[in-house]
Amino acid sequence: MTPRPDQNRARGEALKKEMIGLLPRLRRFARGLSKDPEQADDLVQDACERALDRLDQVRENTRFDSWLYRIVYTRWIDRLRRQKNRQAHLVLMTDENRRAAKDGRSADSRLHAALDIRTALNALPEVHRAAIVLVVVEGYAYGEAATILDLPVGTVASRVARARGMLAELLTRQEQSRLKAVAQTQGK
Amino acid sequence: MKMTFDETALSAYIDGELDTEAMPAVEHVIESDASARHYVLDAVKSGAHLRANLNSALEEEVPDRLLNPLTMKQPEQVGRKPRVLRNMISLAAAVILLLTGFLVNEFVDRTGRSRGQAFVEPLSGPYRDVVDAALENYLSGTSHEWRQGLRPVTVRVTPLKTYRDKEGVYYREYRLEVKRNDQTVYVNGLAYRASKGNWKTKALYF
Repeated sequence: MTPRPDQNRARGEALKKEMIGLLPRLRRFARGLSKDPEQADDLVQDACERALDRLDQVRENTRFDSWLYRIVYTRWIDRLRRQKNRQAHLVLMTDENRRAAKDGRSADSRLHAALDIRTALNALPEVHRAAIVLVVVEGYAYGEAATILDLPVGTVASRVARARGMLAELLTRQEQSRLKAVAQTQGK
Repeated sequence: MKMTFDETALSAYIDGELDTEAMPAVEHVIESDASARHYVLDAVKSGAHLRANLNSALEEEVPDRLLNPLTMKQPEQVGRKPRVLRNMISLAAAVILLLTGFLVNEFVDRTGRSRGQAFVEPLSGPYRDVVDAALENYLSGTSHEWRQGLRPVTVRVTPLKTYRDKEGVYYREYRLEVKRNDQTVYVNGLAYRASKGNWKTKALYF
């Protein structure tokens, strides 16, 4: 039986309300994907507009949050393709820009720690970044993440594992650089 | 370090994705292999850092440009209202949004910050100097930028809002952006004018 127009409208309004509730999480996911908060919001806006156009495609048994995450992800991939921005994944950390963080008691060290994790995350290949953000930050099970990314569960599992390994390696390297910088400063 | 373990299995173990049959074997590897233990500890640590870093998005107000399309009434497919009426509805919704935003701001300002993750920590060295200079000399909405010598670090401070409390103490909210290479971290701060005339940061919101 085809739903009446007023039923459709009511459902559309309910989904919009749900979207508003999901916006903070979508922004977090987009920030995990994108390198800049403004670009992340552009991405969410773009995805929301796309989703609004397609609300009638949401079926009763569709998990609405996964559906929205999938749109954010596909819009992001589209943007990457358009911008041909798939080069230079591994921007390795340099030593000289960490010397300001030698005082671990101040807020400065938090700023630099935040920069370190951000730098390390951005250094991951996009496909690994999406997988680790969905599982580790957004808390999706491998099966759900696989649906969002349109990948086999095994691929998601191996990407999350590899991303973890790379993140740990990058953060360790940053930590060693910082310790070296502190040692050099104290040795002077 | 040469890996002697299956990192996918360890990662799945951390995420609670292993079934009860596979779990004992992985736990045995963690107990017996130091590099496997390192992998798990590093993964847990970096995961916590990652969540802490990205969770700031949950604390922030969602910008109007994202909310507006969702709070407007969906145009009806049949029997659409005349354009003039639709424009008036849009205008009314915008005014309501503006008023709501204003009232929320007023409420938050008078009752203290209601957002999470606020903490007081001293800014030191160059950051403090740039913040002081910006708060002392720049109007709200204008930015003061400083580059750290030859190092690729740029600090930009933008005062956002100025107000006084009941005792007449001046407060300024500001946005601190620290850019290193192509990475940027944004922090919001709240400072007050101390009795000696200098600005003191009361809280930072990472």
